[in-house]
Amino acid sequence: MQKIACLRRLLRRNRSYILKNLLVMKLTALFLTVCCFHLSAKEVLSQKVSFSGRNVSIEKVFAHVERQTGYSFLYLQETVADVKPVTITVKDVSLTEFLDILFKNLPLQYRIESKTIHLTRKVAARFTTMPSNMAAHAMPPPVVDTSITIRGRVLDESGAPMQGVSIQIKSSQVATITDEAGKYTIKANTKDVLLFTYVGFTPTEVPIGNKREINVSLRPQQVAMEELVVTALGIRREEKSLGFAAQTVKENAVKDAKTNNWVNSLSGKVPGLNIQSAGTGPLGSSRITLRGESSLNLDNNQALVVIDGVPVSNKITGTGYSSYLGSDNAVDFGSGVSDLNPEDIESVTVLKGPGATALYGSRAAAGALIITTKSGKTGKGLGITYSVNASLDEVNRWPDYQYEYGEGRTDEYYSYGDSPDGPNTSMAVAAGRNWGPKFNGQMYYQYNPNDPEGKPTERTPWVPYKNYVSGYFRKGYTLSNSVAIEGGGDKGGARLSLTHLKNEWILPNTGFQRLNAAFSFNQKVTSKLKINGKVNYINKKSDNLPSAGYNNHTVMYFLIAAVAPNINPDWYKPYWKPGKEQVEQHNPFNPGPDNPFLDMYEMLNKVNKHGVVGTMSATYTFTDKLELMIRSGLDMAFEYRSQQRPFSMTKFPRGMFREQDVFNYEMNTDFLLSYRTDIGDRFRFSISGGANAMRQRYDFAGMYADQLSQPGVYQISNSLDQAVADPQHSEKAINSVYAYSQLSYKEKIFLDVTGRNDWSSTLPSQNNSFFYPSVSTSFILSDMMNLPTTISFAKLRLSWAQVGNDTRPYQTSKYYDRIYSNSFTNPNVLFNPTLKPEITSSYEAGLDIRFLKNRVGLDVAVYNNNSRNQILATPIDPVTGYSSALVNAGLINSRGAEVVLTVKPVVTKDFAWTTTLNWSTNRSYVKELAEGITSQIIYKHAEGVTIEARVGGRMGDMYGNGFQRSPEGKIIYTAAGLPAPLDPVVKKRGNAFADWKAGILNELMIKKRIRVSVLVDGQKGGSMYSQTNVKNATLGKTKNTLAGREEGIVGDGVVYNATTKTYEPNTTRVAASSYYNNYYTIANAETNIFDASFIKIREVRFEYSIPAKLLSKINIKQASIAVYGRELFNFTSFPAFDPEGGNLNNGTITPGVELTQFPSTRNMGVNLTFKF
Amino acid sequence: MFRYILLISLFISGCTKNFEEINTDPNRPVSITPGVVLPQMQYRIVNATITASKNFTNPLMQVDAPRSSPGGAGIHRYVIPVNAGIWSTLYGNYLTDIEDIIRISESLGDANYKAIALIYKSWAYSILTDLYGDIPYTEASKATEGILQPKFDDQKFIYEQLMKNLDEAAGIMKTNEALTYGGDMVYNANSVSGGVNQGMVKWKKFANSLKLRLLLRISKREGEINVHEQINTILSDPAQYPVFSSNADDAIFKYTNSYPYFNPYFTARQLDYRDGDYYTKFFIDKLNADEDPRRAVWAIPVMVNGQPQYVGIESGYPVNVEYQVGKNSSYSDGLKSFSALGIMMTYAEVEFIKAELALKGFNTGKTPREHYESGIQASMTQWGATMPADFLTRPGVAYKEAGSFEEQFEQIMLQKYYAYFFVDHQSWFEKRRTGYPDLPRGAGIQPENQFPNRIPYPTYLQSLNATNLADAVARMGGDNSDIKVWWAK
Repeated sequence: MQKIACLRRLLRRNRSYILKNLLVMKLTALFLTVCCFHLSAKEVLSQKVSFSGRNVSIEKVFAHVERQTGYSFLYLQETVADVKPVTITVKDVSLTEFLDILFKNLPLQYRIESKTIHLTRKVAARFTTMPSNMAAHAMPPPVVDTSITIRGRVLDESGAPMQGVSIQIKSSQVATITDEAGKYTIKANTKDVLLFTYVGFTPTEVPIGNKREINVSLRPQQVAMEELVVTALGIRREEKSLGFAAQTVKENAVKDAKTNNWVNSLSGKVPGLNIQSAGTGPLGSSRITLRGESSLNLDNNQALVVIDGVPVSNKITGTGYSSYLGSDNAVDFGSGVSDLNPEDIESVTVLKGPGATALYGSRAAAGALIITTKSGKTGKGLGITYSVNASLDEVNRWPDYQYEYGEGRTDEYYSYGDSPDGPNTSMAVAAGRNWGPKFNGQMYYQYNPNDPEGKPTERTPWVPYKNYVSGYFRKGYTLSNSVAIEGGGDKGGARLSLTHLKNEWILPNTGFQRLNAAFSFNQKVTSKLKINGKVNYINKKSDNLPSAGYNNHTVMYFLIAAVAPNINPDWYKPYWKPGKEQVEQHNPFNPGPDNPFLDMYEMLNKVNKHGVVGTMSATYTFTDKLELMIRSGLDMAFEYRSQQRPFSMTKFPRGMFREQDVFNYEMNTDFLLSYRTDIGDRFRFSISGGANAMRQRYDFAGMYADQLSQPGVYQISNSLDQAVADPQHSEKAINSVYAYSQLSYKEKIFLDVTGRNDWSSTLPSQNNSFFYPSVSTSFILSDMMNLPTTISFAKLRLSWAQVGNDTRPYQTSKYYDRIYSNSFTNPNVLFNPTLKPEITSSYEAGLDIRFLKNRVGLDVAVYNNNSRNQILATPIDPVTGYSSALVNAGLINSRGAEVVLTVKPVVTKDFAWTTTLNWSTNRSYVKELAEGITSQIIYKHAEGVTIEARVGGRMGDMYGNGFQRSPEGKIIYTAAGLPAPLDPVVKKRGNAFADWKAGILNELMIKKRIRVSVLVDGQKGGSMYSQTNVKNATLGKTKNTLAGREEGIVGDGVVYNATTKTYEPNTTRVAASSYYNNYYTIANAETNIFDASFIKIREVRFEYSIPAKLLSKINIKQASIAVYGRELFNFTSFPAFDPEGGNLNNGTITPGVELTQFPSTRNMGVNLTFKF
Repeated sequence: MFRYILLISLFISGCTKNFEEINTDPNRPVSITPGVVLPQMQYRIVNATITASKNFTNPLMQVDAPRSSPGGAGIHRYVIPVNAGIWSTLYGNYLTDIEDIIRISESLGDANYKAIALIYKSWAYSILTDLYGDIPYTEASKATEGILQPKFDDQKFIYEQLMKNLDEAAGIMKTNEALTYGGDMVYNANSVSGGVNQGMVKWKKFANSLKLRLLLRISKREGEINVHEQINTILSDPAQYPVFSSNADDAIFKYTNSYPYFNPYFTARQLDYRDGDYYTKFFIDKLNADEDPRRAVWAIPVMVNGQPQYVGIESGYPVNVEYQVGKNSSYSDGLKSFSALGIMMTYAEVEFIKAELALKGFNTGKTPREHYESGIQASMTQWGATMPADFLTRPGVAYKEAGSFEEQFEQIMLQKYYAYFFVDHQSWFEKRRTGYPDLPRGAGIQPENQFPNRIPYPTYLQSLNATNLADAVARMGGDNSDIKVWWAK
C-alpha cells in the first residue's frame, strides 16, 4: 500500500504525464502480485463507506475512502483542480452509492476497474466547463464536428489481442482502452497523434492523418529484470532481488510436447536439473535431482516438489523388493508428481540450492521444484480453452541385433528336439543362445507351429525373422483432451479444467488412463480479506502396467534371455498349452523365462488411484503494512493395486494374487505474518514470521495369496493357504517456525535473511529441534557503478545457507521386524537413540550479466555444498547381530557450476530467433564416512558391479572386477585361450554421473504466426553397467559377437609361461561362443560398463497460429496447431536402449546400472488448441 | 505482532509432546514372546543350512558338479570362493533371535524355550566353528550391549561351552510342560498329552544326540577333554541321556508347502535348479551299483539309448569340458516340494555314530553291523524310499564284519556320507575327521589345490573387526583353507 501511495504522490507532482494513471494502475497490480497477496478480487457492493465532513477538500475525501475500502483513486491533478471543498454525511452506504452521491453535483465521473477508481471529467464538462488550468495549456478548442472516429485493434507480438491497452490522444486527456478482442474506438482529429501504452510494452505513437483504422502491434519492452519469481513458501519476488539461482520455466516447457510424466519434459531445459528415469513403463517415473548428489542415501537427494504451496510426494512406492531374478518384481506405478496434468501448470520454478530453499527447512536440502498451477484471472472475463493432443510412440533405438546366426550352442546344425539330423540343439539345450548355424537358406527340423508339442515333421528353411525382438512391441498411442474454463470478474476469478488422457503403451495390453480435474478460485471477500483455493483431483487407472527389471515377470527378461532370430514371435502367441488353458503355459524354447504373451495378457499389474492435492488460503490485510496469511494444504491419495500371476508362471507355479491399498496423506498448515515499511527514501524493509505444522501418514495394507486354489480366479478368497496380511503404517510430524527479512537499498542492493526451526518427530527428543539459517545478497552492479554501455544489466549474487534433513520414522528405538504372517525377528539395522539431523551448508555465487540491450545474457552460478552428519546405515560386523548401524557420519562435498547463455541473434518484426544454451557440471566428493569405514555401498548389482562411496572418491563411483592384466597391461589368457579368471581385486570402473550436461534450445518466431523450437541436449561422460549387454553379448544376439564366428578367435592378450616366467602372446584359437561368453561375463564390470555420453534431439516443435480474422467469424479467439516430436534421435554408443536412466528397485531409481530397461521411445504428436 | 509469533512458536514447540507417540512404530512390537520368534527361526535356519549343503558341500564332496566350469575355479576343484560360508547368515540373522529367545524365556521363567534355543545355539555354533575354527562366541550378538567388535574364542573353549549348553538344555527342560506360547515347528512341543510333552522328550534326545556328534567330532582331543568318559556317560544311561531311537525322533524341519514354509527350491526354475549341476559319477555310480532306492528320490533319470538311466559326470574335470544339457542326472523335481528336507540331525546319523563307537570298542549295546544296518534303514525311511528286502546283503552294502577295522570304518563312513545328503556340511566335517569317503581327485584340479580343511574368514572382517581377526589368525597359524582346526590337529 505504501508503494501505491508513494507512486501516486510522485504522479501528482508530475502533472504533464497524464498516462501515468494507467501505468500506476498496472504497477499496482504488479506490486500486489509481488506481495503474494493475490489481491485480485474486489468487492464493490459490500464495501461500506461512512463519511461525515464539512468543507473538506476532495482529496481528503478520497484519502478517507481509500483507507476505508482499500480502493485507490486514480486521476489527474487537473481533473479535480477546480473542485471545491465538499460537505457530505453518509453512513454505511456502498462504495458506489457513496461515489454517486459525492459526484452528483461535481464535474466528475468514475469507473471502477480492478481495485481502482478512475476519475475523469464528466463528458459534457469537457466542452463546457473547461477547467481554468487546462485553458492555460492553450489548446485549440476542439471542434466536435471535425472529429472523426478511429477504430482499430491492438495485438501483441504473437498476434494475440491485447486487452486494456490505453489509447490516448497525445497532449490531451482523451483516452480509451481496448476491449478483450483488442479493439478500440476513439474520436479524434486528423491532426492528432494516438499514443498506445501498456505496461511492459514499448509505447507507440501513430499520427492519424487520413487513416480511419489504426491497427497496432505492441512490442514488449526489453526489461526482463522485473520478472517475478516464485520462491520458497510461494513468495513472489522480483528476480533482481534474489541472491540465489532460481530458474522459471513457463507452461510451454511442460505442455508443448507432452509426455506421460510431465517432469521428463524438463530434461535439458534447466542447468543443474537432472532427470533420470529407469525405462520402467508408460508412467515413466523419474528421479529428480538438483546439483548432484550430496547425501549417501540416494532417496535424500531428490528435490522437494511443491504444488501451489503443498509439498507433494515424489515417492515411487514399489511393490517389488528386488528387480534382479527375484520372485517379486518392480512395477512403476508413478508418483504424485507425475500424475499432475501439464495443462494445469502455469510455471515451474527450480530452486536449486539450499540458499533458495532454506525456508523449507528439513525437506528441501536437495533443492525444490515450485509448481504454480493456473488460476482464473480477475477482470479477464470468460475464456474457454480446448486442446486435443494425439501422439504416437515408437522405439527410437534398438541394440545392434544380428540376423546372421540362429539358435544353438555350436554351429553344426539345428534341430528342434531330437530329429533325423541329430539330437536336440534347441529349447532348454540352447537356452536363448544364438551360436547356431549361419542362415544360408538351408533346411532343418524346426519348431512346428501346427503341432501341439511343436514337433517338426519336415525340414523348413533356416531363415531369420527380422522382427524376432521388435515383433513383441507395437506403436503406442496417447490421446488427451483438455477443456479449461476460466473467468474473472471484479471480485475474483475461477478456473476449472478437465483433462482425460488415454495411453496405450508400446507393449501390448499395457497402458493407463488418467482423468485430471482442477478447480481454482480466488475471491476478495472484503476489502481486507481474500481467499484463495485450488484443488486438483486425479484418477489414474490401469488394467496392466508392465513389470520392470531382470526377472521372470518381465517381457524384457524374456527378450534378452530367450529369443533367437529363427524364432517367430507368432509362435509364442498361443500362450496356453492346448486344453490346458489357465493351467499350463506354452513355452516352446528357453524354459527359463516365461512366455511373453502370458506375461502381457495374464501377469497383470493393476492400479486405480484417486488423489487430491489442494490448498486453501486466506489473506487478511490489517493495514498497508501488515498482513496475515493462513494456508492449509493437503496431498492425499488412495491407491488400489493388484498383481496377478497365472498357474504355471515359473515363480508362482500355483499362481498368485496380491493386492495393496495404499493411502498417502500429508497436511500442511501454515500461517505467515508480514510487515513491510520504507525507511527513509533509500531503504525498504520487510519482515515476516510464520509457522507450519506438517503431518504425514502412510498406510499400506497388503494381502497376499501366493498360491491359488483355482486357476484363473484372482481373489484373495481363492488363496490355497491362509492369505497373508502385510500392513505397514507410518506417521511423521514436523512443526516449524520461521522468519525472513528483506532489506533493500535503493533497489540496488538486496539482503535477505531467513531462519527456520524445525521439530521433527523422527528424531529423538533431545535432538529433534534444529535451526536453518540463510543469508543471501544481490547487488545490481549496473545500477551501482558505471559499466561499459555494452553491458545493459549486471547483477552479482552471493548466498550462504544451512539446511538439514531428518530421517524416516521409527529409527530411534528397537522394534522386532514382522516376518511372514505371524513371526518376528530381530532387525538388521541397529537403531540409534541419539540420531541428529543431517546438515548441508552451502555457498553460492552467481553473476547475471546482459549485453547489447539484453540481446545477449549470461548467467553463471557456482556453488559448494558440504553435507555432514549424514544419517546412514553403516556396515558393522554381522557377528554383533546386526549388519549395519544407524549413525550420523560422513561428509560429502558437492560443487559445481551452471551457465545459461541466451542470445537473440535476430529480433525483427517478422522474425525473432532466440538461442538458449545451458551447461552444468557437478562433482560430489566423499570426504569422510563413519569412523573405521572406508566404503559405503550405495547399490549392489547381484553379480556385476557396486556403486560405492569410498573416502577420497566421488559419489557414483562404480566398482567391479575386470581382467587380470600383465605388467604391460595386456589381458592375461589361460592356456585354453580364454581370458583368465577375473582379477579378484575390485577396482573403480566408472562413475554413474555425467562430467557435464548441456542443452541448446533454438526458438524461432516467424511473422508472429509460426513458432519453431528445437531442443538438443546431452551429457558428456558418466558410465552405465548394462545387463542388457551382458545377456545380448554372452548369448550372441548382437553384432559385436559376429567377428570370429566361422574361424574362431585368438584373443588379444598374453599367456603366462611358468617355465620362462614371462608373458607370451596368446595364440590359442577358441570358438566365438566361448570367447564372448567369457569376455562379457556378467561379473566383468570392465567389459560391461559403458560410456553413457549421449546427444538427444529432445524436442522439436512447430506451431502455427491461425490468423484471427479467419477465426472471428466462427467466434474463436485464438487457434493454433502444432506438431512435435520428443526424443526423436538418441546418438550414443551405449549398447542397450538409453544411457540416461537407471533401474527401479522397490521404489528407488538407482542410476548407473541398467537392468534390462524397456526400449526408449520416440514420441510424435499433434496438438490443437482453441480459445473461445 | 511478533509477540504473537513468539506465542505461537512456544505453542508449536510445546506441541512436540506427542512426537514420541507419533514416532512409535504401529507396525512392529518392541517386545515379543518366544512363540513368535521360534517358528521363523526354525524355518529360515534350515533354509540356510540346506542351501549351504547344496551349494557348497555337494560340489566339494562330489555329490554334484557344475555342467561347465570355465576358468579353472570351482569348489569341485578345491577352489574355495571368498566369503563362501554361512557366517553372516547365521550370525547376522539367526543367532540374535536365538539369544533373544534365551533372554526372553529367562525373564518369563519358561525353561523349555530356553532349552530349545540352547540346542539351536550349540547346533549353529558347532557348524560355524567346524567351518572356520576360532570364532566369536562370548562377545557375539551383543551390539545392543555396545560390543561392535567382538573377540574370537578358541575352538576348544567353544566346544566346551556348546556341550555345557546341551547339558543345561537337557537339564532344565520340563517334559511335562507345554510351550506356553507355542511355535515349535520341529517337534510340535506346544502341548502336553497324557502328562508328557512328547515334543520336549524329542528335544532332549536331540540335545544328547547332538552332544554325541560333538564328542565324536573332537574324539581326537581325548586327553584335553574327557571325551570318552562323556560318551560313555551318554551310552550307559539311556534313561537319563536318551538319544534318537527312531525316525520319528529326526530333527527335521518339515516344510508344509503352504506359505511361507516352502523349501528353498520350491519355486526354483529348472534352469537354476537342475540344468546347471549334475550328480557326479562318484555319487551316482555307487547308487547304481547298489540299485539304491534313494536314487529315484534324489535324482532324475535321463534317456540313454532309449532307456531311462542315472548318469553322473566327473568332478574336478578339465577346464574345457562342458557337459551337455539334459544328458546327465540332476536333482529330482520331487525334492523341490520334499517336505522332510530341512534336516538338522537324524536317527540315521546316530546309528552311524554308534556303529563307529561300537567299532571302536564303546559299549553301545549292539554290534557295529547292527548299527550300520539300522543307519541304512533309517536313512531309507527318512527319504521315503522302500528298502528292498535283500538290500543289506547286496555286495556293495553288506557289512564286512570280517574285514579290517579300516574296511569296516570306511564302509560305515561311506553310508554315513549318503545319509548326510542335504545335512549342512557334516559329510565334509566327517571327511576331515576320518578321511572318508575316499574321493577321487579330478584331472582338472590344479596340483596346488588341496582338499580344504576349513573356510577362510569372511573378508569384511579385515575392515570391520581387524584387530580381533588378527588375533584369531595368529592363534590359528594362518587363514587359508589348509589350516586344520583344533579337533583335526
